Amino acid sequence: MLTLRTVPSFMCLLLPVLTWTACSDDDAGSSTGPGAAGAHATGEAGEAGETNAGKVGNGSAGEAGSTGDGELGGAAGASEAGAAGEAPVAVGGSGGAAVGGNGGTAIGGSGGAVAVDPLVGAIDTVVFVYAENRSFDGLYGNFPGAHGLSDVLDAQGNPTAAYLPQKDRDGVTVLPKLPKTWGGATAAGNPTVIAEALTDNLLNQPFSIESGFVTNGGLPLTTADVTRDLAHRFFENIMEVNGGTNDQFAAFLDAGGLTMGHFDYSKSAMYKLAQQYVLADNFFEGAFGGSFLNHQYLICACAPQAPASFVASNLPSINVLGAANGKGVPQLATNPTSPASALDGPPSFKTGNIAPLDYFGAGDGYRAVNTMQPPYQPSGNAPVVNALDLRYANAAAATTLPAQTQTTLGDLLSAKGVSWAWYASAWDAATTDGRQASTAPRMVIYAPSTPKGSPDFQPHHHPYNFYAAFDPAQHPDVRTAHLKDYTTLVTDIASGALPHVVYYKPTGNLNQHPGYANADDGDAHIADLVSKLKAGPQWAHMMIVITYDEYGGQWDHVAPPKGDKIGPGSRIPALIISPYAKAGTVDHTQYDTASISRLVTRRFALPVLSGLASRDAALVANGQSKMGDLSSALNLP
Amino acid sequence: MSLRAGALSLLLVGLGASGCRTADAADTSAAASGISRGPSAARPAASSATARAFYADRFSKQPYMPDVMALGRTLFFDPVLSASGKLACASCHDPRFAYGPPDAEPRGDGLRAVPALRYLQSVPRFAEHYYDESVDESADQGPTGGHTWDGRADTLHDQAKLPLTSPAEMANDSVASVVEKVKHAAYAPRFRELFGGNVFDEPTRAASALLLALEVFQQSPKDFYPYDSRYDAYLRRQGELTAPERRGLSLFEDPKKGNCAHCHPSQYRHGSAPQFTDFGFAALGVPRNPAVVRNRDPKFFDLGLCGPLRTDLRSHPEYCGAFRAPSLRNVAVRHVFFHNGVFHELERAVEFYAQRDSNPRKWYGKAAAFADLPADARSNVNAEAPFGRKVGQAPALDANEVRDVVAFLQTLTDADLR
Repeated sequence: MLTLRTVPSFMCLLLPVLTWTACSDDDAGSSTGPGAAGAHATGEAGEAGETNAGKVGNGSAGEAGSTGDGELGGAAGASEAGAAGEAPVAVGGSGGAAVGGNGGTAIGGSGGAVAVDPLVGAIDTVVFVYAENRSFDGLYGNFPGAHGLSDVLDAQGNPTAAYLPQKDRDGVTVLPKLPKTWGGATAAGNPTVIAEALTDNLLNQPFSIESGFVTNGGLPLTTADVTRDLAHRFFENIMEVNGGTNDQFAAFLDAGGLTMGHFDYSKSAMYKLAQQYVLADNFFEGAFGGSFLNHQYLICACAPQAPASFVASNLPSINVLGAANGKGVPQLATNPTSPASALDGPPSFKTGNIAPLDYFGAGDGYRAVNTMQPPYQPSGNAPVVNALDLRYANAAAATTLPAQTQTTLGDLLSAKGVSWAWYASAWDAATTDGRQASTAPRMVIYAPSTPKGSPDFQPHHHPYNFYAAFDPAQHPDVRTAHLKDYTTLVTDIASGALPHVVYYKPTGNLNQHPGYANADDGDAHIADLVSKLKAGPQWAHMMIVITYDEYGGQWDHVAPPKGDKIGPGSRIPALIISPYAKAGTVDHTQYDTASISRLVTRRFALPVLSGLASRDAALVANGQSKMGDLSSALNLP
Repeated sequence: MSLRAGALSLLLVGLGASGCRTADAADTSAAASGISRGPSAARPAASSATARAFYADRFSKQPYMPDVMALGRTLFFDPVLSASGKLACASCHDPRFAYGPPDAEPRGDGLRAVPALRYLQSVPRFAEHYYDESVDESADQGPTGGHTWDGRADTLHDQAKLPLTSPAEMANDSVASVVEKVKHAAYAPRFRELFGGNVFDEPTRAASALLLALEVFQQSPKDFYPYDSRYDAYLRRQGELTAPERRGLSLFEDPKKGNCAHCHPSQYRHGSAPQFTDFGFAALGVPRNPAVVRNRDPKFFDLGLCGPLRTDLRSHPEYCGAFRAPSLRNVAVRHVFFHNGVFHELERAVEFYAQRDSNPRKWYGKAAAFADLPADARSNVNAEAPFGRKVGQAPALDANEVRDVVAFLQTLTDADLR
């Protein structure tokens, strides 16, 4: 199995054209063709530049000129600094140039010969598919060539010295066994039942969910079974990761020992796609914790703001922190009823939706870190009683987040005239469902999914709907242009009408989220979508990235790189599927959720979101590598 | 966050909490709970955290759980566990009645109706602020979870301790005295085989084994959560409901009619079969039951969350009168309804919901409405649909509709109880 270089390719891109190939040669282990490929790139770049003119800002003298303070110097940073000035975002400053995106457009800046980022000629359509709640080890721990469970288990499945055993809540005591899986390992009514008692006495080590309970007298499970949900919240995830030792998952999870379980996913369609194309094995959730924050981070590389006035009037729940542990890792305060030992039951934390005041920095105020609801329908909160305008959620609810105004990737794409859309299954039905009187029963939003599957639409999985730019009264046209239903995605694929940037979010029954979906149904759905994309007219210049929003409470053995206060958190699977993919390889480059944004930023020469730059700055300050932009997974000409 | 009764009423009661305290003073059996809920001491040292854990390795032999389950079954049906030697767990928790009471007779001091033990496998531990990750995880659902009517036992082994030592139930003076009897029972060798030869050497270890066996038995899927009612079959598209049953389901779910599903969810939630309870607490204001011995004292009130059996929430007047919503699975095989067992027919219980506020005279006679609560706790009573009607208004459900709802509830009976 080929492994890819870990040197980020943007470093090469930032150099003059003629050194590009040399740079490529220098990248140990690179599987991109050197020499000839480099020459080819130059030729094609010109054409690509022309065909994309108007959509992609080709580097011009006008755009160069202002400075980027990035570490790689002004020349490359300059390429987008001009554009940055147009967007309401802090760009160009701290490390903007170094992010890699910027180098793309105009290498050499105002110099005579303009070379275009080979990504521009190769990739015209970027498709992100966002499934739910699986850690890397949980699904791909046995993937050949990837950093999986064999890092910590020997051939017999016994832990090696590299395995850091799970510790109890005191942070010291090694758990003599895994805690039970509280409430049992299977969701209520699942045809096979693994009762709580049958989850006891598991060894303190990773285990197979399929066969792990058999020694206790349980029946084998499969990826068609719905296992119980595991909590996935911001501070809890920080405590579980425990500064990188990942040794307090079992201690702080509400589900107990199930966190150490993994599936054999090798029979799945997505696993086969990963073998056929590229699996990234060093890809982390952009933010610690749950879906809400990671979806927000995906689009803005930020944590949403909760104005002090909102906190004062709506009284949302606020996390309460106790003293940090000996490693300096923040610890939630516990309730008196919280058992001292993880063996005795799930923890009870003083947890909430809002981080403590100024958690992210002095004077920063409040930010939302766990699930809040959008101010616009479809929202988890119905319109106010007797609402005149049913398009809004009840703004007085403790969980309705005021409209957000930080810059999003969508803003930057729109400002640049690059087409994009967020597609979602059941979007239209959920919008209709949400725009009903407060007394009407809701049948789609957070609606129960039956065994035969009703959609179960989850409003907190749709981050753009939290933003003032999508206010249904002020900007109905923006909503129509960018927020679309899955049915439209299917027709756009078939007719070749996909925008440049495509996000797709499946509903609850199809997103593989433990507790309410099995792995198989979402697998089939996403694999079917990939088939449709491959059959569509835009496939030749398409890059599909399938990833998970977050870890879903499941242990992963790799320490997340030390970044900023938002993240990155635990490792998640990511697949890169494209005609340009380095087929059959595992990409070890370090990525996080926002690497998707980095790729788009680079490909479409956008200003750099300040959160991307500050993440890299924090990584570097902590002696870590910057986040890659996923291009290492591609054979670029 | 508060009870689902609504914030309005809470503001009104904040000033006068004395009613709850009065009731607590009358309490004599709270000590029987054996559950410590006081403010936590300093974080225990590393070794003690694990040493104190109930589920930590404390047996010299690792028991095979299916065998523990079988042993628990034996214990559950054995009257030796009671002080009198005549009362088994199964005497009150009869498997023919979903492990609930076999008739309408008051048991023990009759303070609270005997709960059914089926479908308790996913009861969350009690939390004052509860976030349901499987519904809308952003919303604080208020007090939720725990076993028994007031949620004061977090686990089934905690719960098992309560009846063993309650003077009104099995009346042992301690769990240790139960162990002493088990030690001489016919199945004592089985204990040694499963948990190790030294299991009886230390009373606490043997007590753990006993409680664990009772707990594990109650996790037996075929005995305690078969999910094989006609309604389960209907949800799986493997069976049909009759027209009245379908009408009843619709009334059960309609927020403007029964609104029952609001607290007793009836549909799959994210792949999990409906439990017919959200494990939340509500004050329903059911009539006082004169059959309850302690009710002879007009100053005695059973206030659920804030006492007398539960002692950690006395200072929360807003919780007074609230009891945990039970599952409605197998409700049609019951003979006693609500926490005090005041009603003996299912139809009557449904009528109470439909007519409580529109025809209070029928339920409370000449007494004030909610007379089973002290005056200052009456504003805690839930007023959401089907409640909240004005006196003289049409009831939330008419007679035919009540019958339809009952017809639907009868579809929730497990196959072995039909």
